[in-house]
Amino acid sequence: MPTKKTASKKRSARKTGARGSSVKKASARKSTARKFIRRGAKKASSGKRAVMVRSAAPGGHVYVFTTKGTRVAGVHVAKKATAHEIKNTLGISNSLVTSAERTLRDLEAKGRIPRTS
Amino acid sequence: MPSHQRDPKAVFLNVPYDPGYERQFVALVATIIAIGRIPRCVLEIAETGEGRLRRLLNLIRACEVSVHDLSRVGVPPRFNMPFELGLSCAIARSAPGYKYLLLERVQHRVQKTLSDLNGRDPYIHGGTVRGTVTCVLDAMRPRSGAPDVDEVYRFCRTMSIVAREIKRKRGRGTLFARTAFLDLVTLGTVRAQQLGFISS
Repeated sequence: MPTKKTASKKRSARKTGARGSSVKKASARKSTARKFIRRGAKKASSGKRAVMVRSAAPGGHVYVFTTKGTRVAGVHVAKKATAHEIKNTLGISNSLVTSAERTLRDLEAKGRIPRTS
Repeated sequence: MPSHQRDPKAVFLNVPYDPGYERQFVALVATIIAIGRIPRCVLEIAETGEGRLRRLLNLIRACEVSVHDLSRVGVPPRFNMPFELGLSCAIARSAPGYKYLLLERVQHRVQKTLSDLNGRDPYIHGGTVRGTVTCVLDAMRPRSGAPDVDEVYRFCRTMSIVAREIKRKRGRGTLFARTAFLDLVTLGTVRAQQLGFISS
């Protein structure tokens, strides 16, 4: 039979358990995110956040957007680089881009490369 | 961006800079742009007095993947590519997540020329543009939203015409210069954007 002292200790442990439940909730949220990834892919992700969006169209597709560095089905999902990122990384100036556009237009006009539009 | 921060989209190119490799170099750059990655090579950095090896190390460290073509084994021997591969191997040991890919022209040759790397299968391009495109797509294509091999091949053909134009405009007989490389990447990026491979 527990003494009075140990009983009070247990009560205090339960009290701290209230704080622990908030921690639990956070981990539960994380596992929900994992489940979302698991639905779309065979393996679980490394635990990074993911957002699931259902398209408005009837019978619409489910899109899983993952953050950079997330692993889905064991494969690293890296966001594609944009033209802006390539330009910034290599330190390409705007004048170089303008000149490139002009060159491409000229080559298209001469019929050396296919037109895009 | 400081050079030591790793960019997950950057790909370091360690290839022979000789006229015979130009078509494949253009194909490599074009394919890397088409899959939404950033081609980087030692040509793009201007000499600032800190020495070539230091610049090279900083650049390799700034990339997540490096591509090493070991197809030049003729005379005179070129030691730059194996040396840079060695640097990449050392970085891969110390930096988790860093990857390096081997390209070769001839099947099973790397087992003789670089037996220390036995157990690692190189991608064989056969010295062709289509082979190079296929190797890069096999190794690095994104899981979704990757362009088709034929689409990328057509893009590479366009880029080879553009490369000829760059050489004509610059009045130099080579693509392996800083300005020519930056021109090539800029033109490739603009074109890839026009074709819908990458967004703006």
